[in-house]
Amino acid sequence: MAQIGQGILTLALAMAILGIGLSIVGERRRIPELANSGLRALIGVTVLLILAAAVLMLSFVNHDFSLAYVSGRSSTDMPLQYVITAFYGGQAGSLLLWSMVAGILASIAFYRNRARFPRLVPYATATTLAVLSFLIFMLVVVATPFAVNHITPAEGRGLNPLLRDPGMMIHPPMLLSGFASFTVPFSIVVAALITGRMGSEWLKFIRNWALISWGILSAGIFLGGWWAYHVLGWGGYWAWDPVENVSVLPWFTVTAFIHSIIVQERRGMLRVWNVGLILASFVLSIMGTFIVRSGLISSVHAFALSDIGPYFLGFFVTTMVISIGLIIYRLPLMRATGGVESAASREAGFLLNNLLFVAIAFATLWGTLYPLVTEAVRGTAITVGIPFYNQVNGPMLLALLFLMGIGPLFAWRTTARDALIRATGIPLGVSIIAIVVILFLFGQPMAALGIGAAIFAAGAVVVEYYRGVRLRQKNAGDSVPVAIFRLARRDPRRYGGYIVHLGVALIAVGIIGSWFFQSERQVIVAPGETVDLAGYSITYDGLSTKQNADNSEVTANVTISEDGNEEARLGAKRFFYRGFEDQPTTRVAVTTVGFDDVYVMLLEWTDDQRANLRIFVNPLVTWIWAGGALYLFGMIVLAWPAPAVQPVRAAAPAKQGGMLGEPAS
Amino acid sequence: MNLRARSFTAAAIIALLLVLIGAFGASTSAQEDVYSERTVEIGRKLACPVCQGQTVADSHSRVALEMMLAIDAQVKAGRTDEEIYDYFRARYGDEVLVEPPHEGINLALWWLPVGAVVLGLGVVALYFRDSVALGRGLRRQREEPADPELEQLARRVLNDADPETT
Repeated sequence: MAQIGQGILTLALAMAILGIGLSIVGERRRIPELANSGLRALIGVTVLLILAAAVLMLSFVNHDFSLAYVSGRSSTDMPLQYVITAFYGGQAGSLLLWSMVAGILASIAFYRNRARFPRLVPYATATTLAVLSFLIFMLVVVATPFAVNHITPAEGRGLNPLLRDPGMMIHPPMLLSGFASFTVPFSIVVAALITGRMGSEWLKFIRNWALISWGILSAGIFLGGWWAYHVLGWGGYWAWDPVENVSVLPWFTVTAFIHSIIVQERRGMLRVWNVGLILASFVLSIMGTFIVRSGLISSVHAFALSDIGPYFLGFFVTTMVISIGLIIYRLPLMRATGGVESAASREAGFLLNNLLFVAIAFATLWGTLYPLVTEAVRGTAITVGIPFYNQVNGPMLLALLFLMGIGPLFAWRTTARDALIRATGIPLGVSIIAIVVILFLFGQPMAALGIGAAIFAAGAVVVEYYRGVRLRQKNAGDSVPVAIFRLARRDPRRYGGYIVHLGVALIAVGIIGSWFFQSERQVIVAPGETVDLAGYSITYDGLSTKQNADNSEVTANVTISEDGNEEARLGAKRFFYRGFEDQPTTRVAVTTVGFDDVYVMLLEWTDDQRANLRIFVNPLVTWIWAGGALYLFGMIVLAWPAPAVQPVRAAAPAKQGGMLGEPAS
Repeated sequence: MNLRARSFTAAAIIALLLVLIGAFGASTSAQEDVYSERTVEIGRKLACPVCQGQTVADSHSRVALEMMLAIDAQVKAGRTDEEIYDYFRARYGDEVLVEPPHEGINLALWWLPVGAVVLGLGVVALYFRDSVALGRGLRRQREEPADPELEQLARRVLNDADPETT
C-alpha cells in the first residue's frame, strides 16, 4: 500500500509540473491543444490525488498499521466513523485533503469555463498546478502519509479523543476545504493579472468562485462553533483562540470582497482593492492551514506539531512577493472608471464596510501574532485573550451591524434624504424602542445597542422585501408567497444576500444574549440534591458508568425542571479513551427550554457518588444556530444559478424604485 | 438570565414546591457554590499555563484546578484582586494574564489597531476626495458632450458599465 500511495503522489507531482509547462507554453505560443493538455494535466493530478486519498482511506479501514500515519491515529477498537475521521487527524492527511479539494474545485471551475475564458484558463490552471506542486512536494518529501513503520505494531495508538465526536467528522474537512477553495479565485486573479485581461468579463467568474469559497468557509466556521459548544465544555462557542482567528481571517477579507466587487461591477471603482482582497484571502488561508498544522502558536487545536514550518513560510513569502509584484506591474490597467458622487450613497457604504472588515481582520491578525512579537522582543510570549478582541473588535462589529442595516437602504450615486428617512423610519423607531426597553429591564448599554443594531439590520431586510413584494404585486399580480419566491429567483444575489443579512442579525442577537446574560454556578452535589440557577432546577440523580468498545464513560444523570415541570432528563458525560486516560473528554448535557440553554458539565466525582458540576444557563444560543441555518439557506439561494433570462427591466418602474428598485447585475 | 417573563407568582410556586419537597426530606436545595463569584471572575482573567488557549476557570486540567483553589484561598483570606494577580504574575510571568497589562511594549497591542483604523479612515477620505473629483468630471463629460456622435458612444459605454444611467 505504502509504495502504491507514494508512487501515485510522485506521479501526481511530475504531472503537475508538466502541466504548468504545457499551460504556459500553450498560452504563450497560442497553441490551444497544448493549453488543453495543461487543463487535462490538472484533471489528471486531481484524479491521482483522489486515488492517493482512496489508498490512504483503504489503509485506515483495513487497519494497515504498517503505515506510521495509520498506526499513529487509529486503532482496531475505534468505531468505523472515527477511523475515517482519523484520515485528517494529522497534518499529512489534512494536506492531502486540502490538495484534493483544491484540485477538484479548480478542475470544475476551469473545465466549465475553458471556452468562455480561453486566455485566462491556461494561466489559472498553471497557477493552481503550481500551488498543488508545492503541496504534493510536501506530501511526497516532508509530511508523507505513506511513511512506513520499522516494526509494524499489533495495535494502533488511537485518535486524539477530542476528535472522536460527530462534529469532528464534518468541521475540519469543511474548514480545510474552505481554505483550499481559495486556490480557485486566487488562480483566476493571478491569470487576469498576468494576461492583463482586467476588463469586466471575468468579474462574474471570480465573483461566483469567491462566493463558493465564502460559503464553504462559513459552514466550516459554524460547525466549529457548534462543536466547541457541545464538546469543549466551557459554556461558549467562540474564544478568539489563535486557530479560530486564522479561520475567520480569510472570511473577513472574502466577505469584504463579495461586497466590494458589487461596487466594481456597477461603478467601475476599487479595482486594485478587489484584486488585493482576493490575494489577501488566499495568503491568509495558506497561513491558516499552516498555523493549524504547525503548532507555531499555542492553541486548543494544535493537535499535530510538525516540521513543515519553514517550507510553508517559504511558500507564503513567495506567494506574497509574486502577488504584490503582479499588482504593481498591472496598476495602469486598474484605473477607476467611476467615482463616488456622494457620501450618502451605496458605494460610500460599501467603502466603510470594507474599511471595517479589513480593520477587524488586521486587529485579529495583530492579536494572534502579537505573542510571537513579544517572544522575539522580550523572550516571553504574552497571552492575548478574549478581552482584547472584545474591546477592539467589539465596537467595529457593532458598527458593521449598524451599517448592515443602513447600507442596503442607500441608493447608488446619491440618496434622496426624504426617501432615506421614509425607508429607515420604522426600523429605526423599533430598534430605538428595543434599546430603551432592554436598558430599562437589564441595564446593559452595550447589549442594548447591539440588539438595537441587529433589529435595525433585520428591519432593513424586511423593508426591502416589503418593497419588492409590493412592486411584484402591482406589476405582476403575484400573491405574497409567490412574490417572495420570485424575488429570490429573479434576483438571487440581492434577495439571497438579504436572507444572509437576516441570519447574521439573528446570530448577533444570540451572541449578545449569551455573552451578556449567561449565568453560571459550580457546585458539589450528592445524589438527590437540587441546584437552582436562573429559574431552573437541576437535580442530580447519581452517577452511572458504562464500558464501550474504545472507551469507558461516566455519566452524571441530571433532571432539569422549570417551575416544577420536568423539562428533560440528561446525562453529562466524561469519556476515558484507551491510551488517553489522562485526557478525558466531555459530552455536555444540554437542553433548550424556551430561549434558554441549560448546560451541565461533569467536572469530577467521588466514590460516594458526589459530583462536581458546572452549570450554565445560556440565553439565546439557539438563535446562533438558527441564524447559522438561515445564513446557509440564504447562501444557497444566493449561489443557486439565476434563470438564464434576466428579468426585464421594464417590469419594475425605474422612476418609482429609484432608490430601492435597482436591478441586479 | 432568563429572558422569558417570569413573575413573582412563578417564584412563589417554586418556593412553595421547594418547601414541600424539603418537608418530605427527599431532596435538599440551594447548594453551596464551590467557588465564590469573585474567584470565578478572577479565574476567568488568568490563562491556564499548560492547556493552551483556555482560562483557569474554564480549563479542566489539574494545574488549573489547583490555581482555582489558590485563588479561592486568597479571596477568602481577604486579599485584593490586584494582590492576587500580582501573586500569579510573580510565579508565571505576564503571560498568565488573559488581558495583557496596558503598559510598556503592550501599548502597541492596543494602539496599533486604533492607528490602523485612523489611517484607514484617512485613506478612505483621500480616496473619497479624488473619487468625487473623478465622479464630477465623468458626470460633466456625460452632461456636456463634445459632439452628438461621441455622446452616443459615451452613453453606450456607460450603459455597459452601469444600467442605472439610462
